[in-house]
Amino acid sequence: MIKKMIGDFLMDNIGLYILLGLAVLLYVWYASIITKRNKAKEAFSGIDVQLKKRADLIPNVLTIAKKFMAHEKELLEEVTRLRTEVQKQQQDAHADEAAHIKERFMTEAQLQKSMGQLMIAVENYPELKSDTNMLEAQRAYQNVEENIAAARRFYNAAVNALHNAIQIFPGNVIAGLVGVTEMPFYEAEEADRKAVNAADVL
Amino acid sequence: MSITQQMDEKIAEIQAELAPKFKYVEQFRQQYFKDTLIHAVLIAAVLILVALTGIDIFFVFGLGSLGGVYLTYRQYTYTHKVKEEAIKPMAELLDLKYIPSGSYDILQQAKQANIIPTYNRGGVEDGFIGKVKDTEFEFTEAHLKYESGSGKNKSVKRVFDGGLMRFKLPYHVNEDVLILTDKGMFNSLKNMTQKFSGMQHIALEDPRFEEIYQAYGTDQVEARRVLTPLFMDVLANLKERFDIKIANKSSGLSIGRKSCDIQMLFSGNTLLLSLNYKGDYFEPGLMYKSLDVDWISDMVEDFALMRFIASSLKVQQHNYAHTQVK
Repeated sequence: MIKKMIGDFLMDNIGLYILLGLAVLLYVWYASIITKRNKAKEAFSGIDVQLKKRADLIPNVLTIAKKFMAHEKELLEEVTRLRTEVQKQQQDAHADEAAHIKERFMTEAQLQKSMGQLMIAVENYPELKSDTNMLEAQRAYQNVEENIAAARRFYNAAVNALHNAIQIFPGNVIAGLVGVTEMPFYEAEEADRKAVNAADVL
Repeated sequence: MSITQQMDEKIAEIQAELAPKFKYVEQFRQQYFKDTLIHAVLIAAVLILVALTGIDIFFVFGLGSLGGVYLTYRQYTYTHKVKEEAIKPMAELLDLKYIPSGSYDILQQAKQANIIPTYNRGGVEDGFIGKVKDTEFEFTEAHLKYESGSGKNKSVKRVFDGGLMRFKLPYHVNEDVLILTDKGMFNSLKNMTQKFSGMQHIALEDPRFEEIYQAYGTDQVEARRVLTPLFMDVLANLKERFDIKIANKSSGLSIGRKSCDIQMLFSGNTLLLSLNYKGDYFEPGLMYKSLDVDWISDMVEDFALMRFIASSLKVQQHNYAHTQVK
């Protein structure tokens, strides 16, 4: 008797259960998208800290370089201009919005390129190259660059996971409803590493 | 010329230098085996004669056992000779120091790092120490067993027959990074158990590395500082190389296993790596068998790869070292 009553109750409310199941599924999907977006934002914060560190280190490098590199005025000015631009973008109230992030990454990439050129140019100035302060500044700069590279790889992995979640149905619908948008990848040129010599290994 | 081509040339030079030594060892083996065979025939003849005189059978068995001990001693001497005449010079040509007894210290560290299976019996042998620039590294072979039960229920299982490597890192790793061989469908279980120890799965961008390994760490960025693209490539090569060797049943690696199990841990100033290839790599085999010419050549390539692992650690992080060493 009780068995029959339970069976009838279940049959009468089957639509409700399907709806409930669907709601739970959508919530789990939604929660997964939000988790991935937050992870990407967390990864972005990691890069942001390192990019700010780099911007803070540049004046030190420039001050030392200016004493010796009279012929590289244009390059030094370009680095100064890009650093100012980067700092302006970092302080922007919308700095963590997707469109601004993309713009920032572009400027940061330009700054990285110019700094790379500056570091290569240092090689042409023996006095500067052997200057203790310059050596220390270069080491600190290289350390930050390596941190940026690692943080960038983490950020791109997090962004990739977010994109997969919000581009595949029904993730795209849920993302559209709650306003989760794509975040840009951070593409930057890897600094050329000194070639490994077999004689160093064997 | 690429680094691979340069290395191949250098390896070929070392292999060519070793060829005469290998030829000498093979000549020695042939003569030594002939002598041993004559000794065995003489021992057998003496035993038969003694048995025919009607002497106590236990005395004959006793003499037979002594003959067995003598033959074992001959095998041991032959193994020792091969190690002295072929493996030691190979190590010297690769700028490595050969220590026949191995290193217990690495075994203890690997046990603490939990990168080898639980064991209660076993030991180490065949150790090598080297240095590439400022990066010191060591290798030792370990043979470990797990004994359980007692009396009739006693069972002994071989749990590890492979190499243990220790690299002294030119930088300090603040958060541990663990790398395990990919376990396919069992990865989810592994991910869960690692979560309990506070580690999370690190998804990396190299598809070849991702197919072979699973990386875990407490800090996503720190893990990527350690697992640089070059280093991931080197680790993938290591696994593929030993899997091929196992599939081809290369000398010393034929105790029946489908693939090589690799585990490693970056912690502090050390990288520990266990390579369970299920073999006794540095044993030349029984003296009646011809020495495998590829055996030493393969060994040269393996240690060249080990040196390359050490150098890739150094090359990648040359500047990181300066600011991060504690």
